[in-house]
Amino acid sequence: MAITFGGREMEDNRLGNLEVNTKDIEAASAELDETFNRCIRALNTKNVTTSGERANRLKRTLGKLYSLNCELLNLFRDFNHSTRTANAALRKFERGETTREQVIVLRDEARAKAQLVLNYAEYAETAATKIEDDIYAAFDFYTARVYAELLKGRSDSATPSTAPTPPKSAEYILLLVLSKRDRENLIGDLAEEYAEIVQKHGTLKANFWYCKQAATSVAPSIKKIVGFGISASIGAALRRLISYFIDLLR
Amino acid sequence: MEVEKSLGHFEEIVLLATLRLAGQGYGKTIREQVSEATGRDVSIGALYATLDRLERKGFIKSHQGEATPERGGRAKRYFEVGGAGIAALSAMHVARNKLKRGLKLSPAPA
Repeated sequence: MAITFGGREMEDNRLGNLEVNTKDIEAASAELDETFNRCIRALNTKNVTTSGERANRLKRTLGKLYSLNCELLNLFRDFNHSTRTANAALRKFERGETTREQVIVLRDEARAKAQLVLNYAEYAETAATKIEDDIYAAFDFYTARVYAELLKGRSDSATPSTAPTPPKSAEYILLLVLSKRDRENLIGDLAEEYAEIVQKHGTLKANFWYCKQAATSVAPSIKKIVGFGISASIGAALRRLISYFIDLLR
Repeated sequence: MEVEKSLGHFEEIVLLATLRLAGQGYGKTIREQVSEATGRDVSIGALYATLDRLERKGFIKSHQGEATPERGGRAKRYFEVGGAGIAALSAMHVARNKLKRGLKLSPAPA
């Protein structure tokens, strides 16, 4: 990101109009605005259920994101004002209505504000990325999948995925049968191992391994979701039924 | 030891593998340890079901770890054996030793 001071050369002994390329700052502000909107859409997604302290924390985070853009726009407005003042002083100087020193002071002030707004734009972009990641991290894995759509077009993800993609159908089976608690960790473990197998043995073998893992993980996962309590009750009922028939035979 | 808090065969193996990894074990590494030791390809679902059961019994504790790009941005869950887990393992060890005392386990010559 850069601001150019165009027109005549801006040396200490010469004066010139400040011509500032403000496109970078406008782009930074637009990106902040877009990030804010993405987060609003994410929070308004019907799959997201937030309540109590968690909801308040997310609202505070969103508030921080909003204030970053407001502060950037304030600094930008302040800088624009200083630039106009410095350029007006230059015209006054050319008409002999003010001193050269006064123009230099105003010009330096505008340059300092230009640097400030640039630094803030860079800081705000980094902070906004982190805030967005924090907001997404607060949700469960299912909801995160909804965000995948919202994140499309976002160029600078903090942890870009470099992993090869496992077979989607097998992943969906796992998403269906796994408990909410295990979803992220278990699928992450599989993805990590899948990437290693792709590297060592190729995609075909890795896909086969992944599908096998998904298939053999279905039974234990369902058993876990349904609950051992129910299994035990069914077992007890069967035992009672068998003893009843044995008693009948006696 | 209470019956509901006793260790099954696979639970014992998983507990030992977790103990060997000294708090740095997560699904993938524990599965590797178990497969290496037993020579069986253990399914990740079965492993997680066992780990959850061990956690419910109070033998292990878990905490969420970092997300990495290799995992598609998903977080790890680290497992650590607690005091109750170590006690259960040593109780199992003592019981085994008592039962094995005086027994010849090598196969008899044909």
